[in-house]
Amino acid sequence: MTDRRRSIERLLFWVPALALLPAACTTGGGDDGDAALAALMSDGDPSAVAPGAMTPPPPLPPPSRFCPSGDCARDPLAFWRFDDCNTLSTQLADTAFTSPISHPAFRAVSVACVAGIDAGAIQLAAAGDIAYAPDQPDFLFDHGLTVAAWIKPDSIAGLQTIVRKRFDGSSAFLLAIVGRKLTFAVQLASGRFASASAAIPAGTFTHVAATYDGQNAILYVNGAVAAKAQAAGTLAAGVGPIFVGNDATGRQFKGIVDDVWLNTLAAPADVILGLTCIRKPPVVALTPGTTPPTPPGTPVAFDLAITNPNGPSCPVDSFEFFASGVGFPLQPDQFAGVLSVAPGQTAHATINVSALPGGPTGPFPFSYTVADLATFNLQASAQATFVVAAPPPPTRTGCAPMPTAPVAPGGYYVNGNTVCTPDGRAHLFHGVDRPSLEWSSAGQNLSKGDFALMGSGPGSWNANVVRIALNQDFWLAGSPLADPSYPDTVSQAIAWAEMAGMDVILDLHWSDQGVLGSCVSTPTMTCQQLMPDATRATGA
Amino acid sequence: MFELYNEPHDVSWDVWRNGGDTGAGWKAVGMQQLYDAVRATGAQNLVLIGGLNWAYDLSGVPANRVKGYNIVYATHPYGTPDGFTRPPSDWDRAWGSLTATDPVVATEFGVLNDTACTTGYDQQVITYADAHSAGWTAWAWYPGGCTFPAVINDWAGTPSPTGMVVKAALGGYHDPPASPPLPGGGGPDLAYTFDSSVQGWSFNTYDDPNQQNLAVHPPAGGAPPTLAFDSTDGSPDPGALRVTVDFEDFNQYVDANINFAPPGLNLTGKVLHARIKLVSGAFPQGAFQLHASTGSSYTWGAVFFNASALPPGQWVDFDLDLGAVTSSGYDPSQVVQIGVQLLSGLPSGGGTFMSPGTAVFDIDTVTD
Repeated sequence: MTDRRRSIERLLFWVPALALLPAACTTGGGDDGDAALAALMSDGDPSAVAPGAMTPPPPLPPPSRFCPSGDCARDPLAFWRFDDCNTLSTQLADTAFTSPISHPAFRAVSVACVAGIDAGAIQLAAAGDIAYAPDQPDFLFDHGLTVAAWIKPDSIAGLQTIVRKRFDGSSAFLLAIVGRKLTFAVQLASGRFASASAAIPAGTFTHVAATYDGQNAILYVNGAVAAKAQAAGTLAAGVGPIFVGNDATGRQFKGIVDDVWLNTLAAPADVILGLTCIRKPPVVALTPGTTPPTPPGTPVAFDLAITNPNGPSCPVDSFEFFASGVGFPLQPDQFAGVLSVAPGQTAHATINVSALPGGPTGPFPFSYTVADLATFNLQASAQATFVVAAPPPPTRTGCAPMPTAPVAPGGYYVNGNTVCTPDGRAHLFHGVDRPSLEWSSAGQNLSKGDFALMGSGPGSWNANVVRIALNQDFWLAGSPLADPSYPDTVSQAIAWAEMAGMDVILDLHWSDQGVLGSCVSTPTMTCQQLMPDATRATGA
Repeated sequence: MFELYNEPHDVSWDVWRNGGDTGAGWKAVGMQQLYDAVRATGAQNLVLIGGLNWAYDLSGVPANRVKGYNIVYATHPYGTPDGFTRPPSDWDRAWGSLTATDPVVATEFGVLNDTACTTGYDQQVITYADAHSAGWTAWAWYPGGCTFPAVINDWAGTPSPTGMVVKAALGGYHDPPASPPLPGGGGPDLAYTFDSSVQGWSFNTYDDPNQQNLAVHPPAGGAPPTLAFDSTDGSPDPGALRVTVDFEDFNQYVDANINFAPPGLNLTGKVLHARIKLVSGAFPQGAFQLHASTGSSYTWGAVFFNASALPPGQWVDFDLDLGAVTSSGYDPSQVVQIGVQLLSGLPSGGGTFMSPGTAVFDIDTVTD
């Protein structure tokens, strides 16, 4: 650097650079332009804003990168999304992971974490607000450069640093608002400068990007080339951090910055356009919303419609759908699958659902969740309801004119699923349960009048059957609890029931576990066993 | 008809049918053996067999049929207030599907521990059973409250909330048994044994300004007699109705009348019995009364006993011969109310007043 130029730098350091910058694209070489750019690139002491930032990194060779696309020009070296910006930490994560070296950034405490165009972002407002990434061994721009970000400037007045890479007392490249325009400037190892400028609006999110490939400095606005400058060479190299939103001279950007994307190669135009893609959760519909009552085993075809709501700058995305709420008794033929859907388009999957035979009936809601595989946290669910119909009521076998099975005197026989009287009439039992003889050998309040109330007399309940609960230990003679009058009490109750026009179901309600009289009912324990015991099965 | 066992549970379908180790240290008999035991006696009656899961689940029956004839399967659909246990949506699986091939009777149903006395589940069981030609018997004819769950509130047959649903449904069927009713005769038409606290008795609820029931008088504010269930005393079985009369001052008197309202029973030619015991204290010149009212005008018939003659601590039987009542229009074929009453002399009757002290009586076995 010549003495003359240094003097110009010093001079211009204090002069608004916008007054000296050419109005349109500039190719380095002219003294006036270089002087203005040199002033623009010049910066103060970074230690004031980024302590230790100018300390040289360890002299390690840059590691090789892993680039998912197979072409490292298409993948970021560092990508600060700012979605992790929070009040508990000033660190801002690099989400690129294409290099074994991570590139954490930091924000000044006063920088606010706000909602950006793509989840979280940073907002610079107060004097001294800045974010920066300390220099790293792989911040080597001798093969090119891509820098991109979403910005929402409060105004486009003045000189506002968006992203700047420092070296020595100057900058290797700069993306800034200069004189109401977006400006991209690079300083080459030859000492020459190049810059390109284009108009941008204030108060709205704009995607800004710049590349340098050793031949051309290209400026993009919202994914389209906005300006270009030719300047063959290699970017000036040296130690220094990357500044975002401010610099050591206080040329502060005021507004919101989101998704800063950095690479040490020049990304092609389609990648820049792709960076303007802001994905939204898919729109999912499952139809029909409610099925008609459908018997078990009969499949219903549901249409799962997945709409990719993204704008045209976004690529075709793959969407995975999976059963997120499908339970017994519903059975789908697909629990998961993947569909590719172009932006603005809708794709369909047919899912056949049926209910398992023998399962419960009624309405069963179920749901599928769809996730954009490009950003798995963008998910949406859709729900539908499968109404499992009750099988049609069975038909009764009915009764033959003559009994088809032995009949107890005055009793019934079973023909198929029908209880029949001997004269061929189908019969159904409807009545009440009459407890007390299971816990009291005398029963409680047993009387002819009590059974008359249940039975068929005027003003009574019209039961045609009564189920009387019994206890084996009151009946069996060998039991310590045996009551010699128990069989007579039961017989009397049966007689009273039959006088009231009721049949009687004698129910072995309580028993013991094989030792007669061993089960004494208490308020917390009944003598209801798992099954009757084998030793007294036949009433021995 | 015989229901082989109330509520099998927590055994395998194999043990259910064939018997075996319960896993609880004893051996169970199987439904097949129980069925065979019934038939071995020569009985050809219908045999009811309950499923697993507390006689709810019959889904395993098709693969584990009990061999024989005249077999009816039983289910116990019991819901819970939260609605998650044995919901209607599970009934097809558990027991509805079996109605296609076998007779099924829901021999118990209701909502367990239902403090809110809901009725919806019972109605759903009845509707579902009707649609599947399944019979049912409702748990239970016992005044144990909604948590029992009970279909009656008292022994007079007053329906509980679920009882109203059950009674209305029963009234809609006309399906008499295969055999005609047995001719009546023998046995009591009424039997109030006070073997539990729920007996349907109550104090006479009107306060006649002249008779001044329900209270010890005067002075105003004296403690009324108390009525309670006593589980320790009783004759012949434990459990009695205990009346405690507390005289706090001279010149007080009492009328403690306890009524029960049967639904127009025919007690022609019968004698009403009651049993009373003076447990403690004294009741000089007081009386015990057994009464029965008949017909729509509640024509009164009663018999008085000198309570002062009761031997302390002993049960004494009293009778009211309904045929001996001479009241005009008295109709023992339409008994609508019976009761027992303790009373000291009333002012209007020129009765004798009591002296301070507490008298305790137990009443038991009111029957015809």
